[in-house]
Amino acid sequence: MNKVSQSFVRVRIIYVATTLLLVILSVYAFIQIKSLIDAANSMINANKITETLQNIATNIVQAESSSRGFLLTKDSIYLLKMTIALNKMQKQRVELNQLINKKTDTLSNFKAIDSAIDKKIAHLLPSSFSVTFPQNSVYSQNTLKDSIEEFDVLCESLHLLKKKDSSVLANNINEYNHQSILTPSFMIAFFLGGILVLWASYLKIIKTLREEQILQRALLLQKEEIEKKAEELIIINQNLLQESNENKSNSDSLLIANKEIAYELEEKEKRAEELVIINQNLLQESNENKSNSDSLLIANMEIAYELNEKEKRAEELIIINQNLLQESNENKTNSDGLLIANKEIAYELEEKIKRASELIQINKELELFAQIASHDLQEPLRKIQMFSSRIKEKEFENFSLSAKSDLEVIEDAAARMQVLIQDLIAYAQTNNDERTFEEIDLKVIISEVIDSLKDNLHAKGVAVDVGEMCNAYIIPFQFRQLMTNLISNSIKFSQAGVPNKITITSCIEKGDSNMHKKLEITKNYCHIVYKDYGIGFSAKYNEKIFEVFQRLHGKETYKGTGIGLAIVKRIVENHKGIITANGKTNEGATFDIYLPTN
Amino acid sequence: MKSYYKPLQILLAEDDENDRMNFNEALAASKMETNITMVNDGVELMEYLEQEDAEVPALLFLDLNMPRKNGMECLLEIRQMPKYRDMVIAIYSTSSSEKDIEQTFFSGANVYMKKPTDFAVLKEMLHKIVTSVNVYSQPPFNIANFLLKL
Repeated sequence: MNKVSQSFVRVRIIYVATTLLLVILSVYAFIQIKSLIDAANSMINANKITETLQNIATNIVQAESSSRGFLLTKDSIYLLKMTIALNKMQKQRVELNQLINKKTDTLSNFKAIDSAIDKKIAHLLPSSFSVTFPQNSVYSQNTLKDSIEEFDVLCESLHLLKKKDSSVLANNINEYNHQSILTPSFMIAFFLGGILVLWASYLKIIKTLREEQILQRALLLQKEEIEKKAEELIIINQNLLQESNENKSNSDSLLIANKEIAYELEEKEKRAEELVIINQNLLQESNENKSNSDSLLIANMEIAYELNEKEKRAEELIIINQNLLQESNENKTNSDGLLIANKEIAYELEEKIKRASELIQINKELELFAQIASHDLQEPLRKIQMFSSRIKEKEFENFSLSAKSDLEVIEDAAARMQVLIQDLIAYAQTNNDERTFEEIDLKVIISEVIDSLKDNLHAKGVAVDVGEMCNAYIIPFQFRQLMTNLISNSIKFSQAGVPNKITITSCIEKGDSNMHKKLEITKNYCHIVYKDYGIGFSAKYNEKIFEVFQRLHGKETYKGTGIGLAIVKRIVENHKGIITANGKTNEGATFDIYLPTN
Repeated sequence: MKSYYKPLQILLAEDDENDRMNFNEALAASKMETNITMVNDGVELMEYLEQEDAEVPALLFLDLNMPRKNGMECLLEIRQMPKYRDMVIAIYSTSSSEKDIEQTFFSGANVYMKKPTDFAVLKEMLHKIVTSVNVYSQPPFNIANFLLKL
């Protein structure tokens, strides 16, 4: 681009220079021609002056000779001739005057000539007077003599003027010659220069045009290349479009496959739920069967715990699976991972089904155990206690000290055994699903429980504050058991010397997953808050406290089998509810119970 | 006034010999005028009650866990018999499970006595029941008061 603009500037400079040169040339030529014409005019003028001077001289001579002829002849014809000559001369004088006016340098000479001519005419005129006065004839010798001298002076002046004029003419001719030689050569030189400049500019323009042509060709080539590239790009874009379409269809089919997987998962979940229901039905049927096993209960609880764990894991896997489903919308490879995860879930489900069938068997056996424990297991124990009490009543006085102490050990152990068996029965029976749900005012049930425990509450100085309570959909005797266990615990774990207090409130509220992850936001729950100000427990036992046989204190400090809260949890779970514990050492415990409203 | 002179007719259905002996001794200790009849199981009980000339006892102590025919079956059958509709039936069982208590209450038993582990308690309980027969025979029947407590 710079090059092009540079060449434009150059061309412009050349043209401006050429125009200037031509203008200068024209002006110079005009001046030259003008001076040539001037020179020619002055030459012609000089010639005319010379010629007029000659004529004046001739007429003066004529008038002189005519006057002399008159003087000699006294013939008037000579006088007439002289007058004619003088008149002619007067005309020529006017002519000369006009010619000389143009030239100032000859004017002074001309004035001298003019005065000389006037003097001559004045001399000639007396002779004309003599014509009128012929008798006078005083034309003296002096006068004639003066006239001749004057004539000589005049001739001399005329001759001088002529000479001067001819020298001017010679100068003019010289100059004219000089000019006529220089002017053509200058003209030629200037024209040649102008032609050269024109040629130079022509060449420059041609060169620029060629460069432009080359540039244009290069531009054309570049344009073609760009077009080719654009075509290639279009082809590439079309390929990309095709590929993306294929990808889309792939991902669509993937989405469908994933939906099918999700559907299958749901079906499996449903089947699992159905199995749970079947399980429950089987549990009911199993009430009548009998057999023995002490370790069954523990095994059952372990398996129940494992089942819970499995369920948790299955839920986690379902969440993972859902995430994988989302990802697979964009990426095909992820769906492979999803398939693997799905297989894992299927495997977990199989495991769960296996566990469920095992649980059915174990629950049957547990029910049998509850039956046995209620009657057959308690029977011999009761007899031990009964007869030891009889011995104590009748024979105690006759016993040695060590025998007395031994009997007391027997009674203690038997009493502990009894409590243990009773708690185990209670625990086993809370698994029973035969119970019917009723909508009951919780305040009524809690009042009943407080009433049944009033002696213990009074003995330990525990106050119970029942606040606003709502209705709940519950199994009445189970809920009664739950409250009994909680309040009994609070009484048992009061701080020595510090009056304990229990507060119970409840209300209906929406499920808040912040409170517990298993609470569903769409459901309403009866939320019961049970709080006491006893010895409490460390927050690290918040979960563990619900486990069977879990004791945080030695038998000597606080009596108990460690089954009470396990029963509480089992009852809450029978209600499809959730219970959480929150302990603070030496400050008390809070239990949050969430029961579904239907 | 008549009842003061006529001994209280008590029927005990109990398969365990030791329990029968304990029961007898404890009842005797209550110093109430009683006439006690004992049967060893449910079948025997029903045979006894089905006799045409059988006197309706004032009080039946019924064990639940008995061979051949258990207490629950007997209870249901007895309450079907118009003759014994108003007889006071005291369940006398080792079990104190909610299930047993509830079932027997709704099947028409009047009081539920858990066999105690202490002889002194046994005496006390029997004394309480025997002296309150009239209370147990009268409505209202409330499950909350069904289980005997001292």
